[in-house]
Parts: sequence; structure tokens; C-alpha cells
Amino acid sequence: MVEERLAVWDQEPQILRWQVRTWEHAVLFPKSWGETSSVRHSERILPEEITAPIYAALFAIEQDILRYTEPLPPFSERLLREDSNNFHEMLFKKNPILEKSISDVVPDWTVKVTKALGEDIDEVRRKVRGAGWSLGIPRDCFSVQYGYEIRFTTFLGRHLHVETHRSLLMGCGCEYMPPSIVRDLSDPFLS
Amino acid sequence: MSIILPVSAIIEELQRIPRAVWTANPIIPPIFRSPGTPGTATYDAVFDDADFTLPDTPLWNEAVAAVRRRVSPADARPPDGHREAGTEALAWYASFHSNRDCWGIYIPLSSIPIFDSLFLSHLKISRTDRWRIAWDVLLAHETVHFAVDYACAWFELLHHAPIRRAFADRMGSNVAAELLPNRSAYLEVEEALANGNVLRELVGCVDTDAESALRGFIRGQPAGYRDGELAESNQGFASLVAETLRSYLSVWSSGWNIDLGNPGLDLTRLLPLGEEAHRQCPIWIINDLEAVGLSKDAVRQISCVQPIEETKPFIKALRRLHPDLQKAWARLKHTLSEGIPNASDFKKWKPEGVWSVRVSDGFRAHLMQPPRGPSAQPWLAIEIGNHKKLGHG
Repeated sequence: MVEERLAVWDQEPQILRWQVRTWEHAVLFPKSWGETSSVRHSERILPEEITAPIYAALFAIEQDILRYTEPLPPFSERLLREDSNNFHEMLFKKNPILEKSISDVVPDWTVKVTKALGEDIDEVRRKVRGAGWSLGIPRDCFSVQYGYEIRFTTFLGRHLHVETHRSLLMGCGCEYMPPSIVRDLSDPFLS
Repeated sequence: MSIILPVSAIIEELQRIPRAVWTANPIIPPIFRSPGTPGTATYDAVFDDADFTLPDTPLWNEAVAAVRRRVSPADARPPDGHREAGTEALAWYASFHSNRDCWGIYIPLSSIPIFDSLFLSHLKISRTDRWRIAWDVLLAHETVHFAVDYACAWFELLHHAPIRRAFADRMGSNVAAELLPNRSAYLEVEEALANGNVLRELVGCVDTDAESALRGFIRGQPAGYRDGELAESNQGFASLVAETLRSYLSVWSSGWNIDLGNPGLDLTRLLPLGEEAHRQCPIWIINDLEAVGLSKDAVRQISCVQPIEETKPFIKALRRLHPDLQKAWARLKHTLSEGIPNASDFKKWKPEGVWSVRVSDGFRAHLMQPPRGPSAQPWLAIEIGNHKKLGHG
């Protein structure tokens, strides 16, 4: 039993870092490269009736990320409980929209976008290219992910417990001291 | 959630968890103002502004500007070395984790007129009503910090681990300081939750002008604080409660595979936010009025009305009333000796120190405030009768 508990604390936690990246946000804030910390913070230039299904999918993925990870303030990264490979598969299996063609999700996408942007389209195109979308404004045959993306990377938090839980681990002989009577008994000698 | 066990029982148990409690000075406000000696107050407070005159002195103006810089950095950024503080620039909560004997909500009295001056002075209601709104805002915000502190303590007892201390260590860790030099020194989601509670408590109780003033107050605050409206709805509030508690518990949840993100869980039930819970959280008042250029009595808080002496005309009028009303007055008299409940609608009736209080449906009494000086002087009960007879229309 003790070994099992130690194993829980010895395992290296997986950290998840994620960002939302949209071409619309890049047009409004070129220096951001279109990146924001959440869907809520992604500013839009197209009307809601065109992009609603896309943002709904982004929001659903974001909710799943929040659902299956734990916050770790003050860091924006989150603690991942699932295996990272399974997590990626689970997210995009549940929300396949981002892997489809944009016109499959929003019929007549190019026509609608051209109409919505009107005279500004050339300026928008220039800004989008300048922000890293070399093919310009998304077109019908592009995948949704070209213009709307949730990027995430995972990595191991080798020293997470040590760096963030000094009060637990202060002076302990081993790095990962689980809550136990041993830790409690050793406490008076540590302070 | 109602509190069955007193908070003192939880504090006692926390002492048994290594490193779960520590000692910190509760009277170090997050802004620069000279602290005085704290006195106690009750949740329901009534203010008297008879001795208040709005000063136009450099000291007062600087105090107002200093709070403005910290509460609303969008309007005026704090100078280097001063952190943005949001609502905490006006009041703060000292955890029972770090202050066993003097934990609770701290409100400097100067915060009331300063809040009024910054956010409410344009409203077409009396100054004392505006002060009451300021008071309610600060308490609605800080009681959330108490509630989160309480919920955290429960998890600490369950895990037998110093969760709150570990969280504080993480927020202040060297890694965080190196990687995120401009990070918030507070938990942003908890501040959004607390400001959300302000809206939940006050919207509906104040008129639309006051409501928009409160929304403006919240929207102008630093990161996290300004997202209070996200927690205004029941769903938004539940979501932010979950995220707040998960922020404290993340490493434990992850390590022990506890699924606090399950949408079927309603973690708001773990937060004591009812009236009974409020009474368990001490409120400390700091009279710092002279430090901001006001007179010591400029903001008087009436927390109870006692002793009450009944005048002869009052006794005569009381005897003419129905026995039920006579009993209601006796009950009210006893209640007022301990505190002033909101339902009593205790308010100033005439500027010369006459106050009105609701005795029963349609019946009120008038009380004469004792003159300044020795506190033993009684309040005088001078009139009792129905609304019409007492001139309330």
C-alpha cells in the first residue's frame, strides 16, 4: 500500500500548454500572430452567423481541455490526468469539425466571407499573410484548422512537486514525500 | 450551504496538520494607508453621516487617487512598485490559516466614503444609502474569500495536507517569479468569483443607475476582478467555483485521481455563503479616517441600538396598541440591542437625529439618537404608531 502511494507521488505529472489561434484575431491584432489564451478572448471580424459552428467546435474542445485537466495557477499551463496520446485522440474524435473542409462546415464559405469583408478584403488579406497565414484568408477547400486552431503541447513536469510544493517537501530526504504519518513525524525536525 | 460545525472546530483541526497554519499580520493592507486598531462590526450595518463633510484637502484627494489607481488601473496605472489590488484595495480577508485569533474581513472605514466618491456619488440617493451599498459590495466580495478558505480547509482535513499553504507557495515560487514576472499576485478566477457574488447579492436590490455603477466598478478592475460578470448567473457562478477550488486542489486531484471537473458535481454546495455562515466570519473595522484627512467621527457606523429608554408619550402610545404590536416592539427592542437586521428598515428620519424603525407591517417607531459623548447615554423611544400617524405616508 505504501509503495502504491509513493508511486502516485513519484510519477511525473504531464503538463499541457494550449493556445487558440485564429486568422480573424490576427487581422485585428497582428502582433499577437492570432494567438489567445482562450476562445473567449479571440476577437472576430466575421459575423456570428457565418462562423458560429466553427467557434462552437473550438469552444467544445476548450471545454474538454478544461474538463480533463487541472488548473495550475499562476501558470497558464494545466495538469493533464489522461495519457497525452489518448487525450489528443479523445479531443479530436469528439470534435471532428476542425479536420473537415471549411465549406463542409460553412457552405459557400468563400462567397460569404467575400461579401462580409466587402471593400476591406484586400487589406484583410494583406494582414493575414503578414501574420503567418501564407495562403491568405481561408478558402472553401481549406481545412478548418488552417484558420481556426487549438494548439496544444504536453511535457513532463519533472520538478513540479518540488517547485510548487515546498511546504510539503521542505527538507525531506527524498523529492516526493506523500502525505503520510512518516512525513508528519519527520516534520518537527524539518522546521 | 449552512455551517453546522463552528469555524473554530475546523481551525482547531487544522492545527493538527503539519504546515497547514502559519502566522501573518492581518492588518497589512494591500495599499498604503495608516492602519488603526481594529474594532468589530456586524454584517448588517447602518451609517450616520451627520458629521461628514466632503473635504477638498490634498490628503483626502491623494487617498482617493491612490485607491483609484489600484482599484481601476485602466483609468490610472499604479506607480512602479505598487501592485494592482482591485476590490482588495478597499477591504480584505485575512485567512484563519494565517491568523488563528484575528482572522476575518477587514474594512478600513475610509473605504466607505472613498468608494462612494469614486463610484457612487452621482447616484440620486442619500449618502447613507450609498455608503450602505459600498459596505454591502465589500462584504459580498470578501465573504467569497472566506467561503473559499472554508471549503479549502475541508479538503485539507480530508487529505490531511496543507493545501492552502502549498498553493500560496506555488503562487510565490521562484519558478513562477522567473517565468511570469508580470503575473497576478492573486488567484484571478477567485477574484472574478468574488466580484460575481457582488452582482448576485446586489443587482435586484438596487436601482438601475446603481447597478450600472457597480458594473462599471467591476469592469474597470484588474485582470480577474473585471470578469465578475462571468459569475453572475448560476451556471457561471458554479463554473467559477469549480475552477477556483480546482486551482487550490489541482496537484492533489491529479495525484489521487479525484475528478473535480465532473459537470455532475455542484461544488457551490461546499461554499458557505448563507446568512448563518456570514455570522461566523468576524468583521473588523479599522478607523483610519484621520489618516485620509477626515474627522474621526465622519463615518459613524451604528451596529446596535442600546440602551433604549421609552419616553412617557411613547409608553402612552404603546399602551394604546394591540398586545401583538406591544410584543413585537419588545422583541425588536431586544434584537436592536444585539444588531440591526436588514428587515427592520432602520433609517434616519430627521436630520436632527431621529431614526425610524419598522416594528411590524404598517407600524414603525421613532428613536432619538443620543448626543455625542459618553456612550452610556440611551436612545430615546419617542413615537410609535402606524405609517400615516408617524408621517410615513
